[in-house]
Amino acid sequence: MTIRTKFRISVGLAILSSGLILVIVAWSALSLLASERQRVFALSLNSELVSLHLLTTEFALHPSLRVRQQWRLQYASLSEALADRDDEFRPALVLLREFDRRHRSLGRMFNRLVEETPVDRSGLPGQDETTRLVYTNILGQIAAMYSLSVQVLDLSELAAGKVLDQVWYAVSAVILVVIACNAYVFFQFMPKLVQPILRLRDAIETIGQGDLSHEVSGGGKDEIGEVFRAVEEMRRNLHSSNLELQHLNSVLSDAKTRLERRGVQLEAVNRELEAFAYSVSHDLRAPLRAIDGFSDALLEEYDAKLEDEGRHYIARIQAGCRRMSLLIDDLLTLSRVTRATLEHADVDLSALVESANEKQKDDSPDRQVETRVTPAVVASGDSGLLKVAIDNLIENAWKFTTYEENAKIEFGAFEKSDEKIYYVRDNGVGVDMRFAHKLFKPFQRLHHESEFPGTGIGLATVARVVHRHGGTVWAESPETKGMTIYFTLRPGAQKNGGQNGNGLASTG
Amino acid sequence: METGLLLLVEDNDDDLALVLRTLKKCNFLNEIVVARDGIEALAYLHGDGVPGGQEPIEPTVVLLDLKLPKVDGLEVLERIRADPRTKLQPVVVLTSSDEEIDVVRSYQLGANSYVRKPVDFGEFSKAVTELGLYWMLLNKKCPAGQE
Repeated sequence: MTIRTKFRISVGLAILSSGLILVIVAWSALSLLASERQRVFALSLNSELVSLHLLTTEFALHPSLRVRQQWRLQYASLSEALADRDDEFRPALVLLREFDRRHRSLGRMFNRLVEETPVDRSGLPGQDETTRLVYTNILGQIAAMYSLSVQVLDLSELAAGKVLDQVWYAVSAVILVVIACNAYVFFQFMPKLVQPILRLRDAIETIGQGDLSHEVSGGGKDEIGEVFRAVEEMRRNLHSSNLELQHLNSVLSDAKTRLERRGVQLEAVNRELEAFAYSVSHDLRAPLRAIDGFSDALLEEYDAKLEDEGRHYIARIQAGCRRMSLLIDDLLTLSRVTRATLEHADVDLSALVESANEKQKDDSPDRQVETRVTPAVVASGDSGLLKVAIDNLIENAWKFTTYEENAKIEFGAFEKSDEKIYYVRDNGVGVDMRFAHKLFKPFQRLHHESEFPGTGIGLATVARVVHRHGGTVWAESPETKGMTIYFTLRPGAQKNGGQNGNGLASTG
Repeated sequence: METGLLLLVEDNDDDLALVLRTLKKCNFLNEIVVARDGIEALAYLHGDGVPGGQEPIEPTVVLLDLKLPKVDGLEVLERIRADPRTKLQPVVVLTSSDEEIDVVRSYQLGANSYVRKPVDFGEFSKAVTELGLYWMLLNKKCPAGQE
């Protein structure tokens, strides 16, 4: 049975018992009214009889016409009162029938008395035997009638008392039934209602404390049972998603451990690399310096003993030294670019390009190069590394336009599919695009050293800087004439600046 | 010019020979004391453990290599600065490396100058000559007892 049904039953019971009480009260009120009417009726009879008794006595003493008239009036009044009776009041029916009979006989007796008694005859009553007998009979009749009416009065009072008693018993009975019903409801339904709720509370508490494997069972077919089943389903879902989460967590934790191990290894490798670079920086240069320095000493101090060929060899030795020194410097730069910690800031690439151009102009003051730099191209990145990249790009552009009469070097930026692309363009010798994939690898040269000096590390360094920023770098060299190096710098690179980039990009 | 003393801390024979040759060529007449490692350099400066129990020397300038056997250049510099007698001693770091960490540490430890030895001998001799001239002639040392 559902709680709703139980509730409806108990409410129905309460309404029913209230109705019953109402009916009882109404019935008792009606009964009381009837007995009260009967009492009033009996009392009026009594008072009429008293008056009639007095008039009878008076008539016996003074049998005047007036008294006889009064007596008849009084008798009529009694008849009237008698007519005003309630035959519904059954207990008094027999008594009243007797009263009627005596009433009628009283009328007849008084008529006889009137016949026997001469009007306005003075003298004491009872002098005449017959008259006295009639008179005595009348008084007796009145007394009997009085007694009857008193009995009716008693009966009416008795009936009222009986009604009150009945009402008391009925109401008590109904109240007892209601109490019994409520007690039944309380002791039968409440435990059935409350205990599952308490069990449910305990179960939910257990689940709440994290024990998701605790099964929630029980609950009847009522609403609480539905709650039980809903909670159980929720627990099962929670439990399975929790298990999944735990699994994912352990996977994640494994991955983290692996990553940490990798990090430690990486750190060790990095430290080793750093130590290596440090050692290279110190130890590889010293022997070169010795070779160069003592070659110089040879040239200076043994010049007389050397022939031209010997001097030429020494010059070759010194050239080799310089080249080796350049290689070491470039390698160290590449290694530094790899090891450096990136510190992001807004970097004005245009300014870096301008200063790199200035340096090239200072180094080769005889050259005429037209440089076009889009102003205020700002990128987010590591200023030190970006400077290395820009320096290398500009140096390359200057180098490969060495034999170009109207050398042009251009820097700018444009946006393509939400990505900022920066470029350095020259109209120099360019490269054969079949070998373009080798451009950004260290020690790969696409030109002869005698044509364009260099170590072949510059563009590898540029690529390393770009990759460390999460970007990409590529080259375009249409029909082996001129070259454009494009690059992107991903994280937060598209911040601001380079508004003029589009216009310039469209020209190429 | 003859009054000043130069302490050259250098472990590499070649570099030593080249520096000395360069200084000779530019008519550098001051006395040059050579220490071959960090311990020897400190012994000269602080006077302890020098063979023969000499008095500590007071060079006009110390040319200090960083990569040295036993006690390296940075530690020598640290100990020079830690000792009240040599706290204000002019020290020029002259080394092969231009690693950022070396430059930063040197200045942090109180080097007066940091010069990288160029590989090219022409540039190298130019650098050594200029260093000798500047520190021995132009630069004025802090008077003793004023620190």
